[in-house]
Amino acid sequence: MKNEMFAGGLMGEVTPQIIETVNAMMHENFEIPKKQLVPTAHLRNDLKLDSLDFVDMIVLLESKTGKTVENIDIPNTQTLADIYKIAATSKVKI
Amino acid sequence: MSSLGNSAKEMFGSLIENKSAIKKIDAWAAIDGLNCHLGAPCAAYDSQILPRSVRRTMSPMSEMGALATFQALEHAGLRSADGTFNNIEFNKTLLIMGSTTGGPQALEEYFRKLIKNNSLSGQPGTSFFKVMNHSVASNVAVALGFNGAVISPSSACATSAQSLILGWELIQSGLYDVAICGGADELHYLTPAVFDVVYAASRGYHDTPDLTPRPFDKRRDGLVVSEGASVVILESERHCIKRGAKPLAEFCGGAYLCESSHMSQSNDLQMVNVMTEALSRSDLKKEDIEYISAHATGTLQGDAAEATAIRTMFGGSTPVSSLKAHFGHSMAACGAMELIATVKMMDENILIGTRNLEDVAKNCAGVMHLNKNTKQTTNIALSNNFAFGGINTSFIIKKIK
Repeated sequence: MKNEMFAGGLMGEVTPQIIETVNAMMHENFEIPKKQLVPTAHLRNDLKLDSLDFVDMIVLLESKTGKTVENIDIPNTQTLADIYKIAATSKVKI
Repeated sequence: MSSLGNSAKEMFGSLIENKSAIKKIDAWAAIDGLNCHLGAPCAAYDSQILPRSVRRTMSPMSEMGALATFQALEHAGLRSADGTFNNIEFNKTLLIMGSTTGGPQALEEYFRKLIKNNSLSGQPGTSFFKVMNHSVASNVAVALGFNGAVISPSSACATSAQSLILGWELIQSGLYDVAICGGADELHYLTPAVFDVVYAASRGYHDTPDLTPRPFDKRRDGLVVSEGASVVILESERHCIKRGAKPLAEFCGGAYLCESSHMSQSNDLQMVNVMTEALSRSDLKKEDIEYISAHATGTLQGDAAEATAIRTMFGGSTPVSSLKAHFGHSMAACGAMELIATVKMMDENILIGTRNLEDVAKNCAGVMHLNKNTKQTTNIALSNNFAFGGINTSFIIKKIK
């Protein structure tokens, strides 16, 4: 499943579409109020997400973007901006 | 949490009004080979009151299980509305809850995805906690913040009856003061399918859903499944006195004995045996029983065997009724659900009659069938719950005077 919203963005570039997709996922699937969805929001401390949520977040990210998320640097994935980066740098599934 | 209301009061009000919860489930008509398209969904409830961090691993049966447990503990004065436990010592408290299988809706979703992709990719990490067999017990424990002993019995239709009897046994042993006992199941077409393949699910009343099931009736043609969660708190007399709690009823005792001659066919002799053992464990005589809450689900064979067993043991002078035509068969929840209904009957001095029992079948005759709500004082009642796999259970409760 490929997501056309990502067409046009360069590999690694955090586009407005990526932000929109990730934020929509955070709001719909993790019930986080939209106003809390700022790039600096800390996943654990501000958004109250834990390791189990992290696993689901990656699964959802793959299904919504049609990308394969690999080699995640888990210890350094701490803020919402880090999730945008993961979405931007993942490879499109072949 | 039941098809007839989400509190004991609301549920009993529906029974007094002789309501039926049976409805046509249109989506089931699309399942090829399924001949029963009737079911009884739980009354609407708001799962959003459970925080997302707990809800994320719950299938509907765990949601209903948690909401029922909150109600039961608050009613017993053992938990405050803010979630803090009162008079609960974890090393002296049991949580015994089960279901027929892991969440069937999540199981279907899980395996559909697995088979389609031939891969584990795309499976959320939270799925497993919905499909594991002890899903209800674990999810309820997490929702409560309960750190005591958790046990998850699973015996389909006898699950919550087994929870109760096990809780009673363990409290009797002196090891525990409190046992939170119950069961939960959610609607899924697999449940009627299991009964349908052995010709035990109702097929002939799709245009008149409220006329089926028909426990003990001549025109009965099978059961209808339901969903819900029921939880009862058992507490030692010593603990009740110590905290000044007023019990709703006494759980006199119960027994479970396996009927091992056949996986699905009922056997009246073994039903007599389990009722006899329940009496013996309760230090009561059969003459002491003033009402029998029958399992009778409306199947041809099961109802006849139970009626025969009751007739053999109690003759024709003890009132008997079944609530399956009101609720449908709530599977793992029904034992505790019918206990709650029976306690209400004792409190209100009214016995709920068997709905849809118009013409007693010959092979169900010889017992005192109640087919109307009847004003009557009842002090001691026996309740039967039987499950596939020969899991026969019977327990006895007594009114607190």
